[in-house]
Amino acid sequence: MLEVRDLVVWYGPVPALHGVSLSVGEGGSVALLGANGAGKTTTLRAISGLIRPRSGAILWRGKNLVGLPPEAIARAGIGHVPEGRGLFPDLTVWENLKMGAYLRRDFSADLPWIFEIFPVLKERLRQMAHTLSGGEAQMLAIARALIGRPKLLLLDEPSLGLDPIHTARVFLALKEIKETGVSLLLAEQNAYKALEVCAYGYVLELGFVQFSGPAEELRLSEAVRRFYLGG
Amino acid sequence: MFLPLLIGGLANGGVYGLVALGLVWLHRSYGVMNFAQGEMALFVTFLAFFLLQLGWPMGGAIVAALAAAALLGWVVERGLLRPFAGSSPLSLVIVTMGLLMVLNGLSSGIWGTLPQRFPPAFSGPPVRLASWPVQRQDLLILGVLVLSVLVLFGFLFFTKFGLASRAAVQNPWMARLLGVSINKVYGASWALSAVLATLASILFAPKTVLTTSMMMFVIVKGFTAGVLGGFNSLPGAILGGMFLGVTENLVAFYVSTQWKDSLALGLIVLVLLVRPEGLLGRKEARRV
Repeated sequence: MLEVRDLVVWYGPVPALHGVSLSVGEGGSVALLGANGAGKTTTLRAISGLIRPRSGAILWRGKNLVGLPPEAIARAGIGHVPEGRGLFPDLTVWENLKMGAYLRRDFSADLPWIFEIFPVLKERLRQMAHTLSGGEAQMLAIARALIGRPKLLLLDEPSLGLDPIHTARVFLALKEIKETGVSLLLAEQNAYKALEVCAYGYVLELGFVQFSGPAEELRLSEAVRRFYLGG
Repeated sequence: MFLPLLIGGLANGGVYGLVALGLVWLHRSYGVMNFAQGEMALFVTFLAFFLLQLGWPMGGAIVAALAAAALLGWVVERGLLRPFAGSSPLSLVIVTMGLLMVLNGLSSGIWGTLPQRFPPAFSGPPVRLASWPVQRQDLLILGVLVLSVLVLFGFLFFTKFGLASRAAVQNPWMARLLGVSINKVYGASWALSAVLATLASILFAPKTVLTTSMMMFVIVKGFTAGVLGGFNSLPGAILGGMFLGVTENLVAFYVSTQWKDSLALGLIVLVLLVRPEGLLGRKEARRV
């Protein structure tokens, strides 16, 4: 469904990705692992059109997305929960959700299952987004992306800055989302957690894909374990 | 004597407030201080004047002028500012300054520099309010102000595109990730702010004379109104305008008319020194 081929991205004079290739199948779930600065965020930003790659192709159902503006990529069915969540701080929780459904005419049918996955949001609808705690804010960011009914959801470090309880809740939510048929591309430093949710993984280092394989294999791989999974 | 001063001041303040609304909105949504705001409005006001001379009815001329203002705002963004997208804010400001000079030159060239009388929408003797005389134009200004604020509020808070515009102000990239066509939002912001300034200009013209320098001071006062409101709050812009209009009238009457125009400039300095977040504005902390 999504196929990234030889993606090369530079930030000004600094190279960030040196030919990254990966693919996500229909209903698939893929983890993008690696340390800080490995190129996870850059890969996601290139896919959703926030930065323009120097070369390479991003094929979405056979069509190249390179060069399209982010709004067109959103319209094509790719949702992105960016690093730092990207909430609109001075809009209410409800307004943030409405923004998530910007491209849709009627989203009321989806509210029940969204609130089922994220019950805490229901009690916070009238609150300004900047008053939410870190965990709640992350729930809102994911819920907002989901309500746009993406075919593929890009998630950038959803557990960053969260305590273990909220981290567990976020990953539980991701499992539920996967079951609804949405494909996931999950960038995470927390490799074990990510590989619990995802079926396949890529390990990035300094802008290169170093290893890739089924989650089970990556978890057991000695090399991966030593370098990226911390023991 | 206080009541007429108050109402006259509120009416002038309404004009400043309408200008300030557009300035503040563009500053927040587009990140640019539009120095050409006044001249854009003035150019369109001359157009309305021209239509009136051709024999158009007042209502028709005003509607045509507002439509022209929206178009002009959209064209300016599309044609002049967007090519500089990604440049420093200072470059954008300089583009608007260039536009100010070009439009002012065009207005003088087409309509001449002689002062003209712009007829009021409702002529007639002042209305009596508790035995004090009140100018009809002042009441009209206050009425239009209330109506514009209601329409603007309705747009921002009760339409999907208004919600998207507010979201885009807070985080343009995120709005785009959710599918908002940012160029439409920008175009609409420019159209909106040009319409607000044109309303101000057309309402103000009958109170003075229509000349190519008419908007010079109005724009400075609109800017002052915005600064008083903290330059980030829309209600602050209106209240700042009202405050300035009334204070100005009181100073003119009780102190001297010569101080009237300097007051605005003095207030800018004072607010920036003492309370840079304005009367209503919040302190802005920037994350780096």
